[in-house]
Amino acid sequence: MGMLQQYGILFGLIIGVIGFVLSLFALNRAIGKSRIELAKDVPATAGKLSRDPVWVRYHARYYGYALLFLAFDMEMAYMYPWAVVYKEVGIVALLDMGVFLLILFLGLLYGWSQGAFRRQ
Amino acid sequence: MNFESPNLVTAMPEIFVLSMACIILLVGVYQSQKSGSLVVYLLTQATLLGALIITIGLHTATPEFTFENTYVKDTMGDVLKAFIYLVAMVCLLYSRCYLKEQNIDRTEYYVLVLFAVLGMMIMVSAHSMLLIYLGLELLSLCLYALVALKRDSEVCTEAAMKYFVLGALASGILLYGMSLIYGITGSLNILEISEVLKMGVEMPLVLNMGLVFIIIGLAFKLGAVPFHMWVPDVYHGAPTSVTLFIGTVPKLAAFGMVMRLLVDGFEVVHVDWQTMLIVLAMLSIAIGNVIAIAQANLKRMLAYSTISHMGFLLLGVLTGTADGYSSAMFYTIVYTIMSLGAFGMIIMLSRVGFEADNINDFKGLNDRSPWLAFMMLILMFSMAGVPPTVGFFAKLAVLQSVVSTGMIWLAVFAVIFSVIGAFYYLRIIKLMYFDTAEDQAPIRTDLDMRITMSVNGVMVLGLGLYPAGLMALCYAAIS
Repeated sequence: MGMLQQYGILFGLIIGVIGFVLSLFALNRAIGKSRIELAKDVPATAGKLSRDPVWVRYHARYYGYALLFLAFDMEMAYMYPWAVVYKEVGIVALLDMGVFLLILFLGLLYGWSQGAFRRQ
Repeated sequence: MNFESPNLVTAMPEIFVLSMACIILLVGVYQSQKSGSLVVYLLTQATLLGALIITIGLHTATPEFTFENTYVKDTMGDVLKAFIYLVAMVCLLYSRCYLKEQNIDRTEYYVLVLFAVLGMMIMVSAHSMLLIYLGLELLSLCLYALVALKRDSEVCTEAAMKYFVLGALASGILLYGMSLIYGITGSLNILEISEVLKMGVEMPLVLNMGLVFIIIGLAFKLGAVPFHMWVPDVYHGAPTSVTLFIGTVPKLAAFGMVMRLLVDGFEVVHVDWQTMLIVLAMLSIAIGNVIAIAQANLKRMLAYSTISHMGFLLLGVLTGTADGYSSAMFYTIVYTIMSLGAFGMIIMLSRVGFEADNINDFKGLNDRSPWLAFMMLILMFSMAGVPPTVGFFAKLAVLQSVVSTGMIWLAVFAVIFSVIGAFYYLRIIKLMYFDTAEDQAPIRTDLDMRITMSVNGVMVLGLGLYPAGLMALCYAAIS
């Protein structure tokens, strides 16, 4: 099968899936009923109107962890190729990785001092 | 696998700046809050000075390659690096008081500046597309953070966000171009690429595609029209000390990057990129100068003036001759010295809760401080290209090299728009000397800033009287 044909099949599948989803919505419209009532779309808690404003923004407090994860997980990506050549290169490789890890460790210290590891 | 241990001495300045930046970060973190950032500031200046000494000390006339030919130390790199350190030092000198007033005088500021300097050093010394990209990203990421340093200010965060999004887009485009070039030449190394190009490639169309993307990326970073949209907003929105930094030092590095990519790598296909640069240069000179006239904010005005100056830089590069390259290098260095003074003057006239970034704030400056007004006069004359200031010789050198390649119409075009552009520089001078002052507050009197400003202004005049030394340095750096 040619490359272009495979892409043709993929394209057909995508069209098919989109068509299937759209037809489900259309079916829902056709058979289901939706009554429009007063105050149906008002935020209510326990039968009353909500006391606090509902349009609040959520703070993504875990962004700090995300950054730390990125920084310290990336080191692993560098260590895999390093591990392959480590035996041939010898002590120099150890030093190279040492320098790399030292710089990362400084980042860890900095993050620590800025309270990046405190539970939020 | 044959692994050759790299010669670390060649990259000594970079290693020094990196280790010092790490040390300064730790010093800043573990010192007491009361002692403030004076220690950090002094250490940063000492680092830049040390790097300058190391760079000059290790300088050799013959180029040295290391890290498997991905890194080069030659005269052009060393000269550009020396100016990068010097200009960064002056930036910090100007910024110190301003940072305290704006409450952003933190260790992070100095560390980010040092890492940005490191990124720029890598940009001018890299001889592999991947390494160039790495240096560029190190620089850009530090600049995004510096612009956003005043987290509570909406203008700053907006500018930083714009800068980040557009900068990331530009980096992506540049990287895409690099990947196409890698696909066609089979190498990331600048030397090997130029060897392959000399022999001719099979698919010139893909090569041109890659070249187009690389030039778009470069134009974005330089701020050349039509990729200039971020420049005025970022210059305006960033704290003035950061604008001072963004508007000066990275231009040197950007010139280095252009030289490494276009000249070291793609000189063989010079005709292909020359046309693109002609369009970019003409648009930049025209639009930069015309729109600057309409600006009431000095930072915005200087941003548009930067755009037109970048057009001149491209004019020098596009000639494709050693004369042209060295005149472009001369222009870049002169431009950084001039805009150091101009942005420094805005900081000089600012005070707590007041930014002197409106051109009306310069009204009657002659009555308030004749010396500062005279310095500003020199700087504005130089930017407009009036003899005997150095700005005139910079423009002259670039135009000469353009004329000598036979593109007289291009030189005429540039001259016409420089004359139009002179209007907005001369307007500042008119405001300073012939209008009465609206703002009567005393001007700051910090001695270090005054001395720096005086040296800066006198240098613009002095280099204009004796441009031969710097010119010869640039020529030696290129050839």
